[in-house]
This record gives sequence, C-alpha cells and structure tokens, in this order.
Amino acid sequence: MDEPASITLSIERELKNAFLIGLSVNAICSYFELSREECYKVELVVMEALNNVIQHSEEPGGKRRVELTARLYSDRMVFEVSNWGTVDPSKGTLESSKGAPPAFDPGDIENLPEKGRGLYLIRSLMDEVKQNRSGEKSTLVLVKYIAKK
Amino acid sequence: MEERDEGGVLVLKPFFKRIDAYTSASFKGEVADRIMNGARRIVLNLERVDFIDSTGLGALISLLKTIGELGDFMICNIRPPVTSLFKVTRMDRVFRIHASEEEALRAMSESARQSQIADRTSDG
Repeated sequence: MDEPASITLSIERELKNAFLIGLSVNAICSYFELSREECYKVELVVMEALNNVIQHSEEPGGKRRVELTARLYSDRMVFEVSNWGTVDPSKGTLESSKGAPPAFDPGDIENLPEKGRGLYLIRSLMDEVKQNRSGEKSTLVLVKYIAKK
Repeated sequence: MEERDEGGVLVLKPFFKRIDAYTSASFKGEVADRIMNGARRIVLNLERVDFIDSTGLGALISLLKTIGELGDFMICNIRPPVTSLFKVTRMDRVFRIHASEEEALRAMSESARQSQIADRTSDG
C-alpha cells in the first residue's frame, strides 16, 4: 500500500497570498529531486490554478478560502487546489480549454494575445488534470509522475 | 527598479523576484512610465526574477506592444527555469532574448545601425 505523505495549506482568497503556496510547492518538488525547471513548471501550474480560482470564483456565505493539498506518493505528486463556490464560466474553464495556446503570428506584435495561456499551461505541463466537485467544494487535481527511487 | 543609460539604451533591472498575477500591474506600470517618458530602446534584465506566470508574461507582451515599431525591446538574463515559460508558450519566437546584458546591448546597437541604413535607403 502506497500511503502518501500529505500536507494541506490554506490561504485567504487574495492574490497577495498565493506566492506562499507557490514557494511551498517548489520546495516540495525540490526535496523530491525534480530539476529546477520541473520544480518551476509544477509551481507555475499550481499558481495558474490558484490565480484562476482567486480571480474568477464566487463563493457563497462570505467564505474566502483556497486550499492546496499535496499528496506525495513514491511515483507521483498530486496537488489538489480546492475552493468553495463557482467559477464564472465566461472566464474560461478547464473543460472549455482547447489545450492549445492562443494562436498568434510572431510577426504581428500588435495583435499578440496578452491573456489566455493559463489553462493551456495547466493542461500541457502536468501528466493528469481533472476537476472534481462535491457539494460546494470544487477541486482541481493535478498529477505529476516522478521516477521511482 | 534599477536603471541606467548605455548610449541611449535604457537598461532596466527590476527588483521584483516574481512577476505574477499579484505584482505584474505594478511591474508593468514601472516600465510603462519609462516608455511614456520617452524611452524607446529598452533592455530588460531579468536576472533577479525567479518566477513569471502567464499574467507576468502578458505584462511583458503588453510592454512589447506599447513600444511597438517606435523602438526596440529586448530581454536578457532570464533564469533557466523561467526560459521554459517562453518556450512552452512559443513566446521565444516573439521576444528578442539574449543570454547577457552585453549581448543584448550589442544586438541593440546592430539594430540601430540597420535602422539607420534602412532610413538612408528610403530617403535616397
């Protein structure tokens, strides 16, 4: 039985707090001897998920909390970003993401999109991504496989 | 933001360790102020920045668009992990990225020389 070590971090739902979770995720990845680039990519994905929730979710009853649970197995790291409430579908959801970055012409700087890369990064940099919902709790599950020691 | 003039090129070195959804507006404002005040040739040295997210990347794109064809905007000293953001979003095809400040300043100088040649050709 592969019982994971786990930790849950909770922040008030404000952008100024999100980096604290990002730094923690990077440190966890570093401990598991992922390369600096891989640590950055996992931190980036978690930050994109947090930013999306913080900026676009609406929570009932004044709850303003976002949680990250990290579950660390021998062969994978699972990061769960949870919030309570709904994400405004017009702001883009995982399901609506095409899994591709916005199209652009490198020679046409004037029309280069400034937004719309967050969900693409989440989809492209993790090995598995899924969304769960239980009552008012919505959780984005991000899985990164690591080499077994 | 640390800044200095190198022969008409403004070299900016932000103190920001992170350019993300929380800090990007402030970062963008600081650089945009320099553009509003007339800076047209900018080298942005990102050696102190260990983290950029998609919002931070959007801020860099916005600055590139603000300068547009009025001048040159180059980036240097991107930390290796952060380079992967530019690659995975294919923004390495858009930004002129250099390994060092010296290399960026040389490229800036060459770009100015090419512009002068083009101007003379179109005038004459």
